[in-house]
Amino acid sequence: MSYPQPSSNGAVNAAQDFFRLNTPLVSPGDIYESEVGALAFAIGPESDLANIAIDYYDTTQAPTFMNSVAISVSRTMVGQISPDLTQTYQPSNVPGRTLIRPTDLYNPSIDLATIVGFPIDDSYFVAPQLDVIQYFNQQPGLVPSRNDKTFEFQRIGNAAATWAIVIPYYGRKSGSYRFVNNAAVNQGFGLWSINYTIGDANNGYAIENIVAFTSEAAGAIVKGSIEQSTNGTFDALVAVVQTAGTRKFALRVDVSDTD
Amino acid sequence: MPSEPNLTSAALNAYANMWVSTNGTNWLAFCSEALPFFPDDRPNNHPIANWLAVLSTLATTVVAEGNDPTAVELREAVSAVYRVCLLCNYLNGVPVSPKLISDAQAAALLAAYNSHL
Repeated sequence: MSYPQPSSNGAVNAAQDFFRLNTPLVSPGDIYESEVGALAFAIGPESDLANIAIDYYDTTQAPTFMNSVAISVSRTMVGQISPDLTQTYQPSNVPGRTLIRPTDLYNPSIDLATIVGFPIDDSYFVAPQLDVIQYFNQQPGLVPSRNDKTFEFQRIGNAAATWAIVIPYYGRKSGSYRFVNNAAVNQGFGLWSINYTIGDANNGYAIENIVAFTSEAAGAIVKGSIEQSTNGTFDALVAVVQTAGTRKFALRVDVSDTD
Repeated sequence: MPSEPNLTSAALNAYANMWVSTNGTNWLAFCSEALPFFPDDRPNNHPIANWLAVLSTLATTVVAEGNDPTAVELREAVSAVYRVCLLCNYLNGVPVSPKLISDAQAAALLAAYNSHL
């Protein structure tokens, strides 16, 4: 979690209409809290994560007094949610703060070499962005949507090596990729999709190859598209780039929530 | 009961361990043993306590329904345990002084896991 934790108290004190919790995940267990009431929650435009749970104090939910609602890229929560710091959730006795937590999984400790089936020298995880907007006034017609995003990479690392670059996807409907070998010698490229699951390196993910790893000649371009109807729904893309010589390459990945 | 050596291992093996024989009673016992080590007067404890509040709520529901968790409830419980273990491990390892979560607190969470899950 980012520290100090982003707090919605400041937004209320500043009389803003909303508070934006916009932060990269730093651990698979990130959970945030709010001590102020809201009239709506929605996924923000910069979010990579697609599914968020909001846990809140609810006097009708005896004996635990905790209720939960899921928000997603297709569903907002419009309605008053008020924490009650004078009361506690039961049986934990934790004060009745509103809790905000991703339900999508993230696991940066997975063994990428096992996933792709050959040695990986190093890896780079693009941390998924959590973007949730907490509104303090009425929001008729609230329509959540994630922005389309572009991830670009060049010359990763300080020496020739095989890199795995992990890019958040989380149920996007479509994407495209373009790898260009800008070095004077062959460099390798391959692309996989993964779904994070809870387990060790032997069973902690599910994976499918999208582009077979191949050594590409100088100047070669590998490009293509990813479609939900063809490639399924998954959590992240793993691009494997085997650099050599000057290590010059260009990798661009675009992801979108539209077909 | 498991004998996981650290919180990362506890998290990654949560499904394997909790699948075997745990139910709402075990989950409640895990939370009850761990929560006193994360008092609310210290803000750094809130994230761990918040996860334990989520898990205890689920566990209470499961116990009330007959203490035979459905596959979906088990998945939710495993997910909460996986996340709280990795979050605790992360907060314990952040290079600040004093630590956001102390070694003793991390050890207490692991001990509760090994005792009840």
